[in-house]
Amino acid sequence: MKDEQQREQRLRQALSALVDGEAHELEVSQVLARARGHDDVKARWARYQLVSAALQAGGQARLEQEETPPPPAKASAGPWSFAAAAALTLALTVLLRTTGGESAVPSELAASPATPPAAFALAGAFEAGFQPVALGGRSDADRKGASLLRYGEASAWVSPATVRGATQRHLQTLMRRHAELNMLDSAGALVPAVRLVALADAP
Amino acid sequence: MALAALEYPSPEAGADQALLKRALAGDHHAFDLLALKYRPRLKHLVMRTVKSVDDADDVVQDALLRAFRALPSFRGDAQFYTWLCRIAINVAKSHVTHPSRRLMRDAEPETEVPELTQFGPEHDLASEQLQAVIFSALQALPEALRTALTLREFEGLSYEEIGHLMRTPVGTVRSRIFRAREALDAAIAPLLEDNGL
Repeated sequence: MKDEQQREQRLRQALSALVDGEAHELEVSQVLARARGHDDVKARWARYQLVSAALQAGGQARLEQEETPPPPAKASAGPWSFAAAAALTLALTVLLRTTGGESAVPSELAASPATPPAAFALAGAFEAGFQPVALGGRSDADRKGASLLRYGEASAWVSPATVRGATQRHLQTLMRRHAELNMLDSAGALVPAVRLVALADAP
Repeated sequence: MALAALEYPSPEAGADQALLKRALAGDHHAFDLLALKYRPRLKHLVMRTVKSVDDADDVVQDALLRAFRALPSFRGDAQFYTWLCRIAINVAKSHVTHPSRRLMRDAEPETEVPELTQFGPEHDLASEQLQAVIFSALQALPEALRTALTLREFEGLSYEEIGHLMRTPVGTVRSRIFRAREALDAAIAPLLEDNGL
């Protein structure tokens, strides 16, 4: 019984391959042999062709229509962005004080006021040529991993992954610098040195 | 005029070869499968020339029988469907200009002709309703199946090309496309039950 079902399934698969012109010679023979006196094979063949025709006639247009991403949400600072901005601003302030004003961070960033939108200029500062960034609200598109951040006036859309990666890289640099300075300040202490080595190994 | 559009290369250009070869060798069932495949499109084509659905059915049936008889003269320098269209258009024109002329199946009963399968009218052209069901089922497919089928149906890629793109063996592509078709087939089954399909 199971063998019969498997045979039947193989035949249907061969029929599907025949629709695409991808069936082997032997399979073509098997399908045609089965088609003799079995209208179900021909009926299935006709249905496969019908599906194919329907997809080619209207499916693609519909698919394109439905897969067009919704227009990006207007830039606005949500609760998450304020929290992140506050955290970043705090980290930056600590760093600037620690280094006595000599920072690897570009001067326009160091001079930026501690308000959320301006603080997010951080993301634009670490990549040369980027304009200040405004954070978009969370939309369906964001949840799907589509566009999130807009760069300045140019309205270029960047994926969250790109921004996250760049932010990570920049924070890594800051942490390394911080660990370096800590080690110099606490001469002889082991922990800052270990931390620096660990950070140096990080990607 | 219409023929220019028919020359547009279709993804299935090579898909008929296996059946055509068998049909040329005299296999009626191979030709019957080709006829089943193209009958709806031929009917759509001749409906521009003839007035009634019944006439269109008769013209298409006649054109297919003539095509079967003329098959040895098909040299393969055009697509099979293009060749069929030319025959169907000629038969349709002849039907309109000489309505009293009998169709081939009436005129030459002694001629060997294949029994061509015909199903109900609903499957002739993909209706809006049918398309909606098919598309909805397509969207519900697991992504791997949907991608494989759409690459085949929309882009006309071969199994090998799809396998290369999806980084999967050809056998997996074949299986995915089959399972996708089975799912869509199951989705349209209730709509087609009354049509013998």
